[in-house]
Amino acid sequence: MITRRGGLYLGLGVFLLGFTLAALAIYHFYILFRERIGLEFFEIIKGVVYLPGFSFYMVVLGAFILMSFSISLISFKLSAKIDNIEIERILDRDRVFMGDYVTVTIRVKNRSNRTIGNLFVSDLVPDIFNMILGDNYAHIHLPPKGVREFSYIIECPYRGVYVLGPTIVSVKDTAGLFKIDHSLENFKEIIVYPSYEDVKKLEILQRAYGSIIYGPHRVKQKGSGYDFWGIRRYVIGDHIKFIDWRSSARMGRLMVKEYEAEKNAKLYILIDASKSMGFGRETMTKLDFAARAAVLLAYLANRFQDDFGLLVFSDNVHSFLEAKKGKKQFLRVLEELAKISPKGVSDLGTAMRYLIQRERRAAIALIITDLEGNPTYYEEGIKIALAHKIYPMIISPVSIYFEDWKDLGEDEIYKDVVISEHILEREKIKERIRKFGIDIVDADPNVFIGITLETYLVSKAKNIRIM
Amino acid sequence: MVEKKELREKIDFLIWAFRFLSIIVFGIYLYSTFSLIDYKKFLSFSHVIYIFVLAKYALILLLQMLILLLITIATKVLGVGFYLPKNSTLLPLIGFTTLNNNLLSFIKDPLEWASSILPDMIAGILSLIFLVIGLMILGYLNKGKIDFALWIFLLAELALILSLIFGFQSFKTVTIDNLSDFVKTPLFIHSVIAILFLEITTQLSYFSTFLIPVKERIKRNITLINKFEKLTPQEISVGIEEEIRRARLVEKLSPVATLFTSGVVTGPLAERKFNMQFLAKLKAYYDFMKNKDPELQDKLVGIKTIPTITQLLVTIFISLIIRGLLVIGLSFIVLFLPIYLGGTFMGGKILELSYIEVYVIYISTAFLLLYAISELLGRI
Repeated sequence: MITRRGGLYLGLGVFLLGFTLAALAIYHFYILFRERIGLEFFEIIKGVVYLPGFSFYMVVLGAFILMSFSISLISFKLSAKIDNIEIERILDRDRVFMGDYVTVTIRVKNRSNRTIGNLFVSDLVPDIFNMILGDNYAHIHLPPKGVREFSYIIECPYRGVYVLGPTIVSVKDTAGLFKIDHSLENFKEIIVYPSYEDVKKLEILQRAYGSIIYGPHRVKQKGSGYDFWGIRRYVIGDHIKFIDWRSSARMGRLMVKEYEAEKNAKLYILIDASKSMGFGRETMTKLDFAARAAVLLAYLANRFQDDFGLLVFSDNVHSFLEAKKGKKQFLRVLEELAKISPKGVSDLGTAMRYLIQRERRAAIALIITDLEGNPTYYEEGIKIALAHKIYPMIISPVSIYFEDWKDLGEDEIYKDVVISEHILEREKIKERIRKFGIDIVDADPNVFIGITLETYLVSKAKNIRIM
Repeated sequence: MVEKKELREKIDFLIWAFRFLSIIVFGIYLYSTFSLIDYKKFLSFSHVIYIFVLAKYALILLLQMLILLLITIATKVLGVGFYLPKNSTLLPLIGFTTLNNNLLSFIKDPLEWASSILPDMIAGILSLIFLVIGLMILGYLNKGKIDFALWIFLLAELALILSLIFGFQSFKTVTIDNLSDFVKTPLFIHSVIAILFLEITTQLSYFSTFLIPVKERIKRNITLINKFEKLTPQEISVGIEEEIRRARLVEKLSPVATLFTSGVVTGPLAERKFNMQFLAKLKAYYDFMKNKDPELQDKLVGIKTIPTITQLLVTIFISLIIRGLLVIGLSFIVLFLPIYLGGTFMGGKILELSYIEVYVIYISTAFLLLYAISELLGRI
């Protein structure tokens, strides 16, 4: 492909050569037909052609330029082969937390024995990333079998799954007359987890003030533990080793000792990913809040060795992770949280029906929803949950704390009306849910850690005894 | 790892060294071009004015046409026929300009007037070309782009052609009977210099292709690296406190500001709002990555992508030699073309050119011309 510069160069050569040859052609035409035409105009052409040295000069200069052009073209065709260029993108990591940095190194290798003199490489980065240091493009001079590298650092400011690439390669000749553009489909995925800052803050608070986490952490039930639970009458089937001979002697009948078995709680984080959850400030929508809260909840559950799972829903279930414990499960939750995006309308009933089919045992369900869906669906969901030993608690991001006020315009009265109406509507839904004895915690992004921590602990303390 | 200051100075020096070389090449080429033109004959401000006079009269002509068109439409619409002398439509326009002999002769017959001032007009165009070339040289020195050099070349050649056609050449005409006569002509020497000019500026521009982006990159990145590399933990904590104090102060002063800055200090948005926090976080990450890869700074500023000076000079030198040899070799073949043409059209005694050969050349030239025009149109 000829570049603009190449076109100019070629045009120049052809013009100089063509101008003279065209003049000669007209003159030749004139000689052939002068008796029939006899126009005076051709006398001017004749003058140009006869100007000593002039037409020669034009032809020679034009031919020189075309010659140089052809040499460049041949040399370019021989050396510029995209197959000889190998490009590798190296990331220092491909899974990061929101707001973290990633160093991307582009390694360009020349497989051929010829120098690739003028190579331009540009690595495409999603617009959402901030370029912090370096550039995602470079002009490269590649010696035979040589390797060149350049790096750039990007900031991943938002949660999500992004793709780096393709890499655009443009090979030009030394003079920049020709080029070959090629797009290398070497895509690489970066998963940006929700921010980890809240977890860090919690850890700092822990270090500064000692344990701020209080209350019971485990579900207690009778079983084969070490702590004494009580004494009861022997029934057929009890193991002989549990008979308490001293009590049996005192009571005159066989008595057995019972011990306390400790069992970890099972926690499900349910995130409402309906369209209304996607509203809010650019940096903190209600769904972003939900994702961050979920990270914190998963972290806490992991710390207390509880089983924890995740269910993302709107009018259908977007993703589901069965409750498990451990670091791997924590990472699985982070990955799912990175992918959530708002769509559809909120239907807690569908989500609960899905959950009870997969979870037969008692569990705590921490539901993060803005309560801006159909109230009947919420009621239905809660009824299903309670009937199947799923004990729900709701963390509800309040829209008015998240919305960008600029969208509502300057009219204060209008703003007041909108806010009052929203609060009234919300209170009605809350009232209907509270009838089932369900706690609803209003969430504000500015008192974030406190709310999440409190919800987790309260929910556990309340439900642990009945589980 | 290359020291930052040393690196910047080195690149600056190289860029200026190559610009200085360019000035010398430009000087030689332009001297060679303009020594063929007798510029004393046309280089004057009064000639440039002809261009503006022509533009003014073209505007008058356009308005005249418009008035005539309106009158024609009006008579058709009203259904009234009346005779209006063509020049009378100019009357309203004359009021806006000074009446002189020039204008009168233009009104009388624009075409005849244009042909009468043709030499002055060409002189004006040539003067303008001189001016534009001067400005483009400044542009080339500033940006180092070869496109400027090509446009300078194009304009200089156009000036040369125009001056040769309209009799502004400074050399005496010679009769060419054979090849040796042609080689001795000043135009041939000029064509050799022109080719050298094109080749050398191309190579110099190749050099700037690597150095100028790296220079820009260093400027952008080193400033930021310096900014956070100097930071001490104490400075960071003092800085953050100061920024928090300022944010709090704004909240105290204006309740409206609270609405916008809410969450800045304690909320989840806190970590993204402060410049010092951003720098501290970046510094920590940068230091961590630098420990892993000591060449990180060089990769970030793009030093690792450019060739060494020796490599670059060797590449340029080899490229020049190869191209020079090929051009000289092929030029011998090309020179047969003017011999053929000279033999046919200049009353030459060397060779006769058959009609078929001439037509083959014409057709291939026409194709090349069409290709070049389509390429140019595609790019613009």
